[in-house]
Amino acid sequence: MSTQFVAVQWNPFKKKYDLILWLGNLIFLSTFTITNLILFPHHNINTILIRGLGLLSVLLLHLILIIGPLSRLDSRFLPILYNRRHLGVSMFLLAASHGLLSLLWFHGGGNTDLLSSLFLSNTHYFSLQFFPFQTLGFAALLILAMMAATSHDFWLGFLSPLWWKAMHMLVYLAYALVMLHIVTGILQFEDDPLLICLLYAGMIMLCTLHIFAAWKERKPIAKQKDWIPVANLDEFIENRAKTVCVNQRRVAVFLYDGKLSAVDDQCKHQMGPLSEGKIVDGCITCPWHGYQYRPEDGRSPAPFTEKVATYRLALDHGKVYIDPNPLPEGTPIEPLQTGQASSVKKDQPFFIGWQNRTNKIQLAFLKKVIVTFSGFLLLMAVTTSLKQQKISHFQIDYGTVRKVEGWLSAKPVPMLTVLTGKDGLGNPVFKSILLVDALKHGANETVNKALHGASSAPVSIMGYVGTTATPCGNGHPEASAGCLTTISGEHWSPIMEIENGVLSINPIPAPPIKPMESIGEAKKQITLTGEIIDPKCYFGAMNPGSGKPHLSCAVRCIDGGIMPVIKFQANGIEQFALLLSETGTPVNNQVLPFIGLPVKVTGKLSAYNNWHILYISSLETNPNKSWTSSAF
Amino acid sequence: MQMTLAIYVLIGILVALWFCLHRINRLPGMEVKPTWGFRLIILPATVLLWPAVIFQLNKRP
Repeated sequence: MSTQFVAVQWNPFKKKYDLILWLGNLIFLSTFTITNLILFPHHNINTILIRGLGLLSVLLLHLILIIGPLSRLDSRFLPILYNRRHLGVSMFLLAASHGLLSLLWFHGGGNTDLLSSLFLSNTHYFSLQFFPFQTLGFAALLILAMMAATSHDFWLGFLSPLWWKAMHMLVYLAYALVMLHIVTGILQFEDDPLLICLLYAGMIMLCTLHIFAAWKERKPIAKQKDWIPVANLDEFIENRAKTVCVNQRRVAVFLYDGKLSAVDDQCKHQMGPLSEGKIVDGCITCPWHGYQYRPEDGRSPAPFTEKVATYRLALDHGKVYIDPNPLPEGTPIEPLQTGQASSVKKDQPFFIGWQNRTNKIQLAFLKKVIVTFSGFLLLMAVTTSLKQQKISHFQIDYGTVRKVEGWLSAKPVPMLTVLTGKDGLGNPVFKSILLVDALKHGANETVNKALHGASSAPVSIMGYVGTTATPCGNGHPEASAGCLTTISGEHWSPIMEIENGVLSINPIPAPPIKPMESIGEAKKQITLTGEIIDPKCYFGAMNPGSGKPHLSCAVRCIDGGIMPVIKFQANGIEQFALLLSETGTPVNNQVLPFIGLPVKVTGKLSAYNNWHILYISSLETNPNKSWTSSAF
Repeated sequence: MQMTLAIYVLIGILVALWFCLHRINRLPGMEVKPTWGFRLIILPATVLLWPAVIFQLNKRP
């Protein structure tokens, strides 16, 4: 409480509080990241950070919201409440990092701006299952940003306590949005029952504590006109208050130095309960942030200007009565003399944050709470890591530029056909690697420029490929296209990002064997059920590269020219087919509304080296939501 | 969409600079000049809520 506005009113307790908080955050994030990297070495570090930051923000949001009712139910939690503002700002910074990373990762690098991509990539606004969940997170983040930015007492006074409190009550709306963001987002992908149970347990705990705290504070509804009893005099504790509800207002009646005074229960700072405070240095001291009021006139000592309403009291046959009509705020009123020394009863310790002393009992309790919560955080970091799905076989190795030689062709899609070895009869085996440009762009233009009108040409290309340490055929989706072993023995995903556009494609003397250029003859009509993915993300640029969390990103990639691929199951094996129109032209625009959804695609199936090609005649969402194909 | 947001933020920055550097000194309770750290810390909220800031200033005498 100073007369000059400063950035942060630091005191030793706040410094310790922040130190413990950020140490806890760092330990959680480190544990989560390391556990993920050990368990899932092919998960992208951005994905791990996005998940870790999101999870930590949600855990802190729960802590922020339960600490209020917990403190009402047990005053030993008050020290945690004291610096809740810093807890809230820290939580916002973590949530903002989660949001920013997600926005850049899933929506950046495409052919539209970030915000348009956020709101318009996934347009299933009328579907609960496919709702664009990221918009819910964005809305929650806006509320949290508004709250964090106005977390200074200056804004409380400038915007008026009523508006400020109303704005900060929006945290419950933000909480609801966050819960919906999770339920319609990651839980549509990660469906482990434990994760779902943990989320609902948090929600139930939060609601239960709020109901209990509200029950404790319930107020009579009837309008009271006559003097009403407060309590017997011998029930009062020195320097503490008894609470009484008059005309739906809570009033705190304090006993001190053989006198009684009554003031409105609501602190002017953040509406803390003065009745749970204590008389310290002759002033009623709010338990939340230590704001003070004189009991005899309800005014803060100079130079402060806060004031609360006062009430008249009377004593009759050892019973204290109160006049239900409040006096104007700050009205001086003679304290009621009790005429006897007050009985001193055993009192609970009282915490004032700005005083540099903490009671030993409180300190011991705080230590227990910190140790328990830290243990819980670590348990959550490990449990949630363990319960994740394996979301990728490959990761594009952006640390190494590889030179790959083969036959470049623009049809049916931009690809490089490379010699990968010989079959049992000694015939050469060719596999085709799909070519894409940087970020979320297809390579049609680049490849056409490099070919100068030719249908194919031998070239070397500098670029990045998806790699894995596990050999193809050992759990990889290798059956049709998903994994290839090079002559040098490396295991690659069938996708390559050209390093520097057309500049990285160089003609070379033709290799000794030229692969067959013709595409296999299309067979009879076939129906495949599965999910339309963008192969760049699925095969290592991003993970997860399919499902609900990746839907918007896949839309951006395919809208940016990357060839659409359908992922389907046949005979229990994951397989892939490039999607083209019946005339062999790209179908990127037609498939946009169906990306990430369970779909049923009908067309004629053909083959090109390791790839299936489906010339589609019809495309619809799959009402059975089945992911397997019985026709293939 | 991004352009609309950029315009909103740009106006917010201008209002915030004027408010935090100049107008704030004339507010009641600012007899002792606020610190630079304080001015910096209220800057983001002013950028974000500049219409509310102008509304509140207009309400005051």
